[in-house]
Amino acid sequence: MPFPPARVARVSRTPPLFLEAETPRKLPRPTRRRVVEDEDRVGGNPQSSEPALCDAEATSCPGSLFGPLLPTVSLLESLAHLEVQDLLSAAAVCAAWRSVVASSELWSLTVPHLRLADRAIQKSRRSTRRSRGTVDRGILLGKERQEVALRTLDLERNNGNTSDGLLPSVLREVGFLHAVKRAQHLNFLRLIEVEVVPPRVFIATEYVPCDFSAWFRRVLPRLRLQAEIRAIFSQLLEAVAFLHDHGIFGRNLRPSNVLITCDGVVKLCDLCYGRGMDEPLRPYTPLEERVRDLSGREKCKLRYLAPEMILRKEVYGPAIDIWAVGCLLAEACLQDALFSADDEIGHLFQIFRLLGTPGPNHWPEAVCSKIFSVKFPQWPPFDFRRTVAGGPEAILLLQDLANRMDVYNKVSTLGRVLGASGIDLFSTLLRLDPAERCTASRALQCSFFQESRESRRRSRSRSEPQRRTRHKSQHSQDSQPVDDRELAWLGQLSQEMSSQSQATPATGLAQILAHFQLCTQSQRSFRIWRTEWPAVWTGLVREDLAWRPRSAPVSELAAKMNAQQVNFVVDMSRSLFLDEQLVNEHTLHLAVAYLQDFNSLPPPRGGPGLHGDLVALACLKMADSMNEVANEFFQRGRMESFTQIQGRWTAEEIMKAEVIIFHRLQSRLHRPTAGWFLHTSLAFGGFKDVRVKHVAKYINMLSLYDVDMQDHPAHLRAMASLLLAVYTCLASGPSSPAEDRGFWKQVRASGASIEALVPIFTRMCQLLTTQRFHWAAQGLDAVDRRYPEAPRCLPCHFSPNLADEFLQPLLRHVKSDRSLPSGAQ
Amino acid sequence: MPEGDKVLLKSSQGEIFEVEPEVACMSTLVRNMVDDSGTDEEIPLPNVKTAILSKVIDYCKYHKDSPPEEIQKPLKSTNLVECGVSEWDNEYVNIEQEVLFELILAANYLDIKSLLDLTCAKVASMIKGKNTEEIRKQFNIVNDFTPEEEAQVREENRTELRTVPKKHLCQHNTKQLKLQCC
Repeated sequence: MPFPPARVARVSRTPPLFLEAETPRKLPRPTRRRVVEDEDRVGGNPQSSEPALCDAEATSCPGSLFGPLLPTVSLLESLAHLEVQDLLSAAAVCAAWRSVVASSELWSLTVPHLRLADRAIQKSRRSTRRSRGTVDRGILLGKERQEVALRTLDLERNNGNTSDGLLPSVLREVGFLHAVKRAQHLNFLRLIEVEVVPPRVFIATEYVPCDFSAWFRRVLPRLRLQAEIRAIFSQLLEAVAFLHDHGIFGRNLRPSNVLITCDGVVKLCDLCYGRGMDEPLRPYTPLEERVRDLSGREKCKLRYLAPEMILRKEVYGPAIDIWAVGCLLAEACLQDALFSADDEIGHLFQIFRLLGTPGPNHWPEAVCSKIFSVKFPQWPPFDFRRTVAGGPEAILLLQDLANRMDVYNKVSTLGRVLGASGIDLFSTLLRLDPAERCTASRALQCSFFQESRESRRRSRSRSEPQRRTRHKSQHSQDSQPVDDRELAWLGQLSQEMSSQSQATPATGLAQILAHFQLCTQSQRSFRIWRTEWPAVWTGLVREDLAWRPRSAPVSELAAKMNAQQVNFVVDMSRSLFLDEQLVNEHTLHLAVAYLQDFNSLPPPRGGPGLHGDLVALACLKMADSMNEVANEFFQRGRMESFTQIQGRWTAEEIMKAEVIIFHRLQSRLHRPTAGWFLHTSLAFGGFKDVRVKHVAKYINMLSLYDVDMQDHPAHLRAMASLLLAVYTCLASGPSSPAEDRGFWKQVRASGASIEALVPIFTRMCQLLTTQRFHWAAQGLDAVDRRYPEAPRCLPCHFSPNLADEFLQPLLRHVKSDRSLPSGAQ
Repeated sequence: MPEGDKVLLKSSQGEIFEVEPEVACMSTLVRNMVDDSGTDEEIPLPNVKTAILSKVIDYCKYHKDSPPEEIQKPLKSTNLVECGVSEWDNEYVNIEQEVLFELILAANYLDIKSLLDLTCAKVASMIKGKNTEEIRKQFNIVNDFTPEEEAQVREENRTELRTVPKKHLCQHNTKQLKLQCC
């Protein structure tokens, strides 16, 4: 299959002397392989006497046979003008042409102007689905020929035959796949290329033929099965943990989306149902009931659906992925689906049969659901571990489950295959109450996976057992007391907080700290795990820091343009979404991030530049799709009302702009914003003073107007806004929140130093005291109108040394108090 | 470079052309030589025949003040005029293959990007839309594949299964291939 390695000369800037200067006008014999000859000449191979012979021939009868006379470089240049179809015909002409067509030089010339769809040679069709488009297996021609799975989507057909531009599912899938690609995570299907040619979208990913169900259907001896399950599920959980840490949850884990390569590497695919996570979770689009019962495929999907989805809890989160992993784990052992009902109620009953019907002591929230009824059959829950206990326990269990033999059979099979530690894992994954379900990263720590690591390590270090045990004992001595100390300190802090009934913003900030402290502590205790600062924060901070600031300084004109565009976005959001809740801060910040990214890129070659407002509008639409909150607005033909409201651009123009922006920004779609960080800080800080919320949001959004501000990491901007808001609301400001010792720790844990906050803080003060009025004078006051209460709370001027005064105590803390949290006792 | 000095170009057959510096310097090769050693001496171009050199100079004279527009890639049609090539240029490369190839060699040697582009686009237009056999005939190339190699090439590039949805890409007037779903 592989082509012979390409040996082609590339057109160079310097005169390509070696081709002609050395042997001017050599006309080789037509059948001779040109490329080989080139090499001969370059290498000065003395054995090749043919060129001279050709020369003689050619000069004797010029104009006879001119085919291979074309030097390789010119052939390369000529072929670069052609389409794939012609290139394929050309490849079959002769060996020399074939090697030119296979050369990476040719493809680096042609790829920029050839469409993805044209470069794919389709070999077979894997699946066709009305909603998801078609998936084809094929070869993608390019610098290298690679086997790909090419998905083709029709935008209109997927959206009820109305054309609303890019679908949220496409935007999100591409954004998430790029986020995964950036991190080079092995356990996801690698994205190769995306292209939108309205009304079609082409997504090329690597091709993996075997999926999860094909894997477990293979008959395996039991022991090996356990080893394989361990290997597969540790990878699967790692992939899920990665998603959750990066603020994404999948919502669609099922056998056909878990691919497994021949080498046993798990590849998660199909993130189009995924969505960005908010912390704390928000109500997300519930599944449509009608759609769910329609087709057999939907029934298959039902099998992995968590109970809270069926009970129509609007607020659901990453725990639904964990549920699906639990179902898959059982499926791998049972060689059959764990739940196999055809309709929702049947599914729910099967779940309750296995895990017990919810009651006052057992997931009480479910009982409040509209769908739940007290007439539901009552099954008591039981401990799965009893299945592996053996002896009289097994008989007792058999008695307990006398009317649930199917459940007994399933669970005992599970116990046989997985062993005690496996059953433990299974029971933590498959919990009725989503809050009790363990997280992916914690599941990876469980003994089921540790055992294999342990045994591997043991076999490796069998030669030096003594050293290992000594090391272990040392470790336990070190770690244990520290943990206890930390827990004691935390207990003290939380007690302090609850005793202060009069909550001020400062205590609120302390609460943030407390939460944040919890996050960094050992996570063994269940109580702590439930109240910890969201783990996703840390992941997103890391991602936030990875965005490189702009290198080139921005001109004054560009800065003014930016302020106008941001103003337009905020203004537009107000007139489009009458309910301000619908378009939240994260959406707006995301839209502005796209906008500024797009503006910082060099303008596209050839085509006319886009109008600033049009870009802003398209960015807002894309951000809205990514963040889902208001996506009802853009779905199903609502584009029309959208164009009516702002009245200036037609739907076609917006869509065109959207496609251009999408092509340029596709790798930056999923990203954390200052809006997200502030939302989380406010929610977890428990601020009782509503002014803090308003002012912080106001400052945070006002700083979007300032283009230089965007070079600072988003989470620091959010922190600085919050700090300044707290300062503002403590009108007299006697007790600075900086007195709270934990604050420094939070900032440090978020990956930055206090020093980094100073310039942001100073700049924000400037914005609020002077720049704000300049903007208002230019009519850029959309943010003021969005938060009308906030400007009233702001003082007329800040002390010029505010940053120093405010942050210096913090800096002192840093220097004097490095040994947190032990110093808290 | 002194103003008004003519550049002397000497073809392989010894004939000397006297051309304006702006015209001659469209060739990067000549420009480098002029920059290095001035215009006093004639510049020998041992790889370019008289006839071809005069043709190249024609091109350079025509495009001295009006550089040609870039040719669209991929070519939309076999008619170069439809791909953004001017009428004059189209007429210019409407020549025998033999001369065309010599022009390519000269353009490559003299390093005149736009001429190389134009001539290569002409060759491309001669390949476009033809099947393998027709291309061989066009350029008089002999098939030097062994039967096994040929089978392999055909298997690799087999498009009977249809290249992915062409029919939806309206601007492309490529051949409709047989659809065969598995």
